Amino acid sequence: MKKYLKNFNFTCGLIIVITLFLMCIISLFYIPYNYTEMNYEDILQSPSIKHIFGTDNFGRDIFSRIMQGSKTTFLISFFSVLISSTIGIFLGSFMGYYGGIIDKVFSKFIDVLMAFPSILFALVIISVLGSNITNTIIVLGILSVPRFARLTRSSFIQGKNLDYVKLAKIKGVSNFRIIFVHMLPNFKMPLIINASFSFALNVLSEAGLSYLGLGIQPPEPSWGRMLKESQNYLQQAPWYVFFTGFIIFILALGFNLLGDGINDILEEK
Amino acid sequence: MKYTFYNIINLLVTLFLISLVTFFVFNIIPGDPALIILGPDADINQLEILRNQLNLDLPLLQRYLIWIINVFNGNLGTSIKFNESVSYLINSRMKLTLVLTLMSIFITIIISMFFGIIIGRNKNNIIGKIIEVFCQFGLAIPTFWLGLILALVFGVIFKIFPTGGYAYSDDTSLIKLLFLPSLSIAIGNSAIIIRFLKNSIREQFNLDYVKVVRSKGFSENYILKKHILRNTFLPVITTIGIIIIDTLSGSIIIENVFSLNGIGSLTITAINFRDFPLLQGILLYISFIVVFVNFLIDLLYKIIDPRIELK
Repeated sequence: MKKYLKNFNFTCGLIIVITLFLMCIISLFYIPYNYTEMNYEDILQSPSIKHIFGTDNFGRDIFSRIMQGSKTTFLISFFSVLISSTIGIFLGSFMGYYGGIIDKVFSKFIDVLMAFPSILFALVIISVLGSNITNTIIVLGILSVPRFARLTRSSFIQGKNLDYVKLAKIKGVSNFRIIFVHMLPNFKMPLIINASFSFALNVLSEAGLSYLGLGIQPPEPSWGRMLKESQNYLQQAPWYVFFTGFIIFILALGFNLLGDGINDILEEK
Repeated sequence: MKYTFYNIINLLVTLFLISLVTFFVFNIIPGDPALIILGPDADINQLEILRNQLNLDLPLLQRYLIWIINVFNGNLGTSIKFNESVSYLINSRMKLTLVLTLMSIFITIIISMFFGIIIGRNKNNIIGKIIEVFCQFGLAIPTFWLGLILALVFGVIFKIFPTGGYAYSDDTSLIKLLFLPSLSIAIGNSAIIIRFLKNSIREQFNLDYVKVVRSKGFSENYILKKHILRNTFLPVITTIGIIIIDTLSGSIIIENVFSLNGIGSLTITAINFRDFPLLQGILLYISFIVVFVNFLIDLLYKIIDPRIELK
C-alpha cells in the first residue's frame, strides 16, 4: 500500500474519487438546500458564502443540485461497469481459453459493435427502449463489453499455454475451474485498471447522454442536463456552466488518474 | 494479394453484420412500432398507413430483405418527420459534419505531432511532465463542456470566433464557424495520440538499432529525428480509425453545443420525433463510413509497411 501512495497519479486519483464519493454518501442524508425548490428572489446569483457554486435560472442552489446529481452519476457508472466487466470477462475468458470457432464468432461480433460510434449507438438504443436509469445502465454496460472482452481474451491466450495450466489439465481439473479459479485471479490487475478507465468513460458518456436529453428525466437533477440548461445562461451566469462541467471533468480525471497510477506501479515492478 | 482479398471479404462480412444489427435494433421493442412512433393518441387510419409504409404486416426476415435491397438501390426509406427521402436528408446535412470531422482530424494531427516530438525530446524533465498533465486533462474533459468554455472565452469575451448558428455565406466563414467545434473535439483526441506516441518513443529508445546508432556517436536529437520518429509515426495510422469514430461521436454532441446544422442535430431531431427510418438511415450511413475508413487504413498500412502479414 505504501508503494501505491507514493505514486502521484494514484494518490491524486484516490483523493478525488474518495472526496466525490463522500459527497455522494453525504447527499443521502443531508443536502444544504432543497434541490427542487425554486426561489425567484435568488435567480442566477454568483457564488457566495450562502451559495458556494451560485444559483441557477430558477434560483436553485447549484451545489445542492450537483450533490443530488452525484447519486445518479455514481449509480449509473457503477452498475454499467459491473455489467460490462461481468459479461466482458466471461466472454473474453471463454474466447481466449477455447479459441476456435467460439473465438472467431464473438471476435467478429465485437468488431461490429465497435464499428458503431458509441454515442450514436447509445442514442439509438435509448430512443428505442425509452430513456430511464435502467436503460442508460444497460446501454453503457453493453458499450464497454468489447474492451473488457478483448483484454481478458488476450490475457487468456498468453496464459493458456503456461505450465500450471497444463498441469491442472493433466490432473483433470475442469475447464471451468481452471478458467475462474486458477487463471483469472492472475489477470485481475489489467482488468481493475480497465474498470477504472471505464468508470471515467461512463461518467462522460452518461453526462453526454443526459446533455442531449436522453438520460434521467426532470425534476431529478443530472450533471449533463444541468450543463444543457446552463448553456442558455453562458453570458449572464458563466459560473453555472463552469462548476457543472468542472465536476464531471474532475470525477472522470480522478478515475483516469487512479487507473494510470496502478498501471505505473505495475510497470515499475 | 492474399491480404487484400482477406480484407475485402472481411469488409463484406462486417457490412452485412452491421446491416443486420442496424435493422434488428429497431425491432427489439415488444409491441407495435407504428404505435410507438405515433404515440398512444394516434388515429387508427394513420397507424394503418404507417404500418403499410413500414411493411409491418410482413414477416421480419422478409422486411429485412426488402430493406436491404432498397439500401443497395440507394433508398434508405422516407423520413416520418420531414416526409422526404432519408438519403436526401443525410446528404444535405453531411457536408457540414464532414468538414467538421476533417478539420478536427487535421487539428488533432497538428497538435499531437507537435507535442509528440516535444515529449520525445523531454522524456523525464519538467516539460514532459507538464505535457503529461495536459494529456490527463484532455482525456477527462467532456467535449461539450470544453466547447462551451471555448465559446465563452473566444466567442463571448474576445469575440474572435462565432459561437454557432446556421448562417455561413461562403467556405471561409464555414471554416471560421467550425474552428471552435473542431478544436473542442480535437483536444481530447490529441491527448490519446500524444500518449500513444510517448509510449512508443519510449519503447524505441531501448531497441537495439537505436543502441547501434548511438554507439556510432550520433546525437540524441539526430537519432530522434531520423530514426525514432519515422518508426513511431507509422503505428499512429492505426489509431486514426479510432480517432475517426471518436470524432464522429464527438461531432454529434458538439453540433448541439454550437447549434450547427449537421448530422448530429439531425440525429437529435430524429430521436425527438421518434423518426425511426431516419435514425436507422443515419446509423447505417455513419457505421458504413467508419468501416470503409478502417478498410482503407488496413490497405494503406500494408502499402507503407509491407512486412504486415496475415496471422
